[in-house]
Amino acid sequence: MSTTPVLEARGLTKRFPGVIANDSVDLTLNKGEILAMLGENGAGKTTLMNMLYGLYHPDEGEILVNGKAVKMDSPNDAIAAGIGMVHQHFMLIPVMTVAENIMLGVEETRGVLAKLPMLGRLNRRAAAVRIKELSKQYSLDLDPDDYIKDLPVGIQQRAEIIKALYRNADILILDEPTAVLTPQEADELFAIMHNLTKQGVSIIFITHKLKEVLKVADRIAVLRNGKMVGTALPADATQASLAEMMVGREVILQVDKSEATPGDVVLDVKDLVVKTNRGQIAVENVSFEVRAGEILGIAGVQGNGQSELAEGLTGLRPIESGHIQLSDRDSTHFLPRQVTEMGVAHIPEDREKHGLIMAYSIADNLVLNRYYQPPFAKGPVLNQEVIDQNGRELVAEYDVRTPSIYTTAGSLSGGNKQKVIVAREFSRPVKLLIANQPTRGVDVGSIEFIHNQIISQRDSGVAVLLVSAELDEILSLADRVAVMFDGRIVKTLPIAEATRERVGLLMAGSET
Amino acid sequence: MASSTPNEVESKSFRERILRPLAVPLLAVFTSLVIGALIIVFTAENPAIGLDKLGKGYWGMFEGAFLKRNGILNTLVVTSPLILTGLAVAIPFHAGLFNIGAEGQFIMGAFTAVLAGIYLDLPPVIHPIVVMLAGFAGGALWGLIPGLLRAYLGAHEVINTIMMNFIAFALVSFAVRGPFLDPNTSSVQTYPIQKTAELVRISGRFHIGIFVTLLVASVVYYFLYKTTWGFSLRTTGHNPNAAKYAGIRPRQQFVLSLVLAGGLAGLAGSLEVQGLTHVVTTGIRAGYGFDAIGVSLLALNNPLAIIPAAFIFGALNIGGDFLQIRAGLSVHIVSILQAFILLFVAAPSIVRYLYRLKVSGGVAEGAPVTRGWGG
Amino acid sequence: MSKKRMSLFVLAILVLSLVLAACGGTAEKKVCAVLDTGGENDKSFNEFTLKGAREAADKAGLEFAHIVSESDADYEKNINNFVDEGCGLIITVGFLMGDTTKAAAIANPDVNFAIVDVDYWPGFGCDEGVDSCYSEEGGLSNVTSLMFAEDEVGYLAGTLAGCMSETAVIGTVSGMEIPPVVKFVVGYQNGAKAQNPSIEALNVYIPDFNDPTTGKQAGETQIGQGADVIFGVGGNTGNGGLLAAHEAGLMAIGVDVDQYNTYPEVQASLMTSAAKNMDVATGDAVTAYANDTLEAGIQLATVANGGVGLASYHDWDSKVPAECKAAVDAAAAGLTDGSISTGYAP
Repeated sequence: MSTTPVLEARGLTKRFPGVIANDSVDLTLNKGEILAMLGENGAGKTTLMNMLYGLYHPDEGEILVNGKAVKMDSPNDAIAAGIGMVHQHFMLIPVMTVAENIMLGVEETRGVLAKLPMLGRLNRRAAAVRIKELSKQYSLDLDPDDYIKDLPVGIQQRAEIIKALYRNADILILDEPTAVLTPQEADELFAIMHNLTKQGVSIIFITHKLKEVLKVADRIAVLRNGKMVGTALPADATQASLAEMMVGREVILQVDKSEATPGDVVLDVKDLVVKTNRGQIAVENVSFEVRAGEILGIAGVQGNGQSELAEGLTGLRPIESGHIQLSDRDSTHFLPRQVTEMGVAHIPEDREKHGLIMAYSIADNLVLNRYYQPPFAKGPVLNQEVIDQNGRELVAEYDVRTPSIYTTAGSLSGGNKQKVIVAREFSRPVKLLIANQPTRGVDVGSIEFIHNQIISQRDSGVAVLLVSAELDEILSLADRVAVMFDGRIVKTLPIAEATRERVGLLMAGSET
Repeated sequence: MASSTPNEVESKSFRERILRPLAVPLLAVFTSLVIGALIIVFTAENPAIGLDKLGKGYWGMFEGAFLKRNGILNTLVVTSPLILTGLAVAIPFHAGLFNIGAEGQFIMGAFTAVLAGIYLDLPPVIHPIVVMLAGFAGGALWGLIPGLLRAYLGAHEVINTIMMNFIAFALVSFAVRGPFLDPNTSSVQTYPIQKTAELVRISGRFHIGIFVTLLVASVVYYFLYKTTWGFSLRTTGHNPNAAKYAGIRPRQQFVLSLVLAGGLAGLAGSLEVQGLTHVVTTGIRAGYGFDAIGVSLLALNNPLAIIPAAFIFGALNIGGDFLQIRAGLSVHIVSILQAFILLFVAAPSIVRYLYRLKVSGGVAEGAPVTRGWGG
Repeated sequence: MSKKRMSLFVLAILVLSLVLAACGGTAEKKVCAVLDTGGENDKSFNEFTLKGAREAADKAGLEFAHIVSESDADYEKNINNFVDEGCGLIITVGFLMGDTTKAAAIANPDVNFAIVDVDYWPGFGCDEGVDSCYSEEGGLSNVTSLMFAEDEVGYLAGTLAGCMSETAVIGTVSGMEIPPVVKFVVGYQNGAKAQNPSIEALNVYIPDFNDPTTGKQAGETQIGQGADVIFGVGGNTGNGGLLAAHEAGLMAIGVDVDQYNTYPEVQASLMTSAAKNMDVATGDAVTAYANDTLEAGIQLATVANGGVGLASYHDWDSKVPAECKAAVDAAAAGLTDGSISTGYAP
């Protein structure tokens, strides 16, 4: 390794009201290195990266680029220092082309007015030439004239990477880049990352997927509670050791579960068709059944109809055609409340959009779909005492880390938000659980907890429909795996036949 | 990012619960008065005259709104409709809608109340109550229409409530000039309501309507925060998607919120007729429905906080006359003051910066003010 | 922290000035005016009432205050505020304030009221006989009604119209059929007939002072029947008649104030206006109050005392022939010396 680190953080501290997000964090990134940044949600990874990228100003400490202290007051300073960032949620404009997106903000202009601000003509050709050069140099296959909206997620990500390189970045920060990718796409990304580092680019790779870290990183740094707890080399580390560093205690990663003992059919879906908001068919003639005491996993890359399927089943989205049978009732056109009252628990995909009211207290969120029933209400009058008591009990039982049941849901960490939803949905008698991305963005410790809860629901005879884009989650929890691609279930496999490779290929639509 | 762990404890102190939320609105009022003072001083012929006018005007404002004979009573008289129309803005805010139609709902309520007051023959006590219900119904109808349009056609309530205002002005104006014109008087007005329908006046113009209003405000508070209905409505306002998930039907809540809002604004119109005018004229446009937006914002849409907020606006309204009476200043200074108050309440960071206030930790649950224009 | 000190300083000034003002005494005689919702710059009743009252009060050395009402519901409040402020004379404007002024006058017998353009008669403001309205028994012994001889100025306008009309057909687009409007119309028609006995006078009453659309249609109808001079007598409704005349390229006569200023769109067609000089009338009332000679009852502003009269011819000064001007002047002289009667009988 070279002598001077390309990027160094010394004693970075950032305080927010009531919390120290980063506490005297040191970090070094060497030239041509992939540094994996591990940490639970809320550990301070994003805060640290935002300081490195100039979005936050550190309260203490300094940042050095190539050995020189740099003052980062805005992302412009970071870009000038050669730092580029690829956010988890892409910052691309769908209706513009790749080239337009890449040149956005650093437009080259030509023509007589080129010297004047805002008035020159865009020099698209020059940009396109440069983008082609970059994509060739780094083997990032990309057509500058394609519209972003027409591109798959993996290619959009490449556009984001080129966007950073176009601005002459030689330090890249990738924030959870694999969250939206299929296993195959992720492998392609790792190849690209290696390619970049070979040519002198240095990468900070933020993730919470331990397997990836071991596969791709040169060095691993672990954050916990805002403090840097240490670094490790992949050769010396195991998933278990990394998880322990992240959480601060031993974590059982392997879900311990017994053989399923399926009972009666609880959910029977036949030829279901559901449309997107724009009226396109999202779920096409899907049929399956889920029995009591088993977990049916729906695998698939995001955006292949899983969300619409779950919303259709829970009454949130109208059913175009087909048939849903819940136990002995036809629930095809049930309203959400009827579905809930039939004994269906639903962990929604987007907990902030559907699952919680951010401004409400935890106690109120814990009765969000039962507030009108006794004992929480007497006639039309809410019984706040019972609601609060229920909140206290569930917060204790489900280990929601909060100073008070009156704290707003919005101020909880991702994992604790999810625990609130899990507590609410599991604390009432149900016969069907629809869990959509139950551990997305949740820390390792909470994942373990939520997985165990799902298993114990299964074991108590609940039928579970588990929708997840995390293949590992499906493979470790499900008893049967159904793979969705392009709105259809392309295959249903017993867990014994569901290997990573096979399911991965099914998810990519390349096997039927 | 790193989620901040809130540091408040379960039992919040008086300081946290009462003083904190009050700081910004009160400082907003104070700052606006200071700015108004500067405007008065620096627009005068010379600073000495300006100071003289300022002293006379501000003292007059204070005396007129509180101290003078009938001062406080006059203030209460205008506070009453401001509370009701303020509630008519606040309730839809809680459901995530922005009701700009309180003025039209007020006028329709006044009109239906006048009809019930003229044409129904009922004994005292019963008659005023029936007239109030008629006013509520008239306003509620005027809220129902944009509510249905919003819920089932997705037509934006801001546009539609504004349009409904114009329709109400025109409709009442037509009715007052045409079929219901009282030929026994020289002015363009309806027949007066029957004596049995009037509200008792206690002193001067001070009538018992304010007691009805205070009762209603308490009921609305109870409704919003203590009942399942209110829970459904507020949930819809905070997050219609989550509301749907929770089994609430947002469309129903949209309609309900605007119907209630219209009804309360209509009740305000009714009380105004029963207690003060006894007739409807073409000049019924009092602007309460528009001031109400400010009242509701100042109160952060809390039904009980609307009472003092309406009182502040009422005092400015009544006291503001004395800027002109005592100092010859334009009554529009008061409009400027109110505008500044709203500016500071809507942009609390200005006030926090001026007075170095800290942002309070994430407990207080206000209505989703900033979502108003979302749609 | 200098900002904090600054706001403390401002606060100190505020408090100081409040205290100083609170110690100030009140003058003995005070004149106050309550304007209606038209506001202080309406170029009409409000503006001229305010002007006349303020100038006269300044001249007599009396304290003066005024307030613009923001809605019809405010009149009562504003009058009562002035009573509380110790005003000795309260001037109110227009028929919208008629009822409120009466009620306030009865409730406050020690305060003088002067109301512009409203008088009270049995069944219409007071219950007793005509003469007793403004007496102790009638309850209005402290009210002065500043009235205008609309028939006289209408007569002058009619004289001009009769002289100028080429078709010998003239029209009036009138508002509600209430006494002041009727007086204008009768005076106008009689003046025109005195000038030209063969003249045909059209008229329509529209029961609304704020309906220019109907007013315009009425004007167009009259023009269709041959009218070439339109006299608009009824606020905005009458203005619709003026507009009809203007658009047809004919002659128009305004009402109440010099409409050359209030309705500039029709300037080119506006020969003159049959004006009530509110500033003169209110000024006289204030002066009388200052001299303790203000009397209850109807104070009639006439051509003789300059309270009513035709406004300037403005653009038409050169177009109105001398003979017509002379006819108007002769009529004015006749009304002044009593040799001419307008023919209006209540």
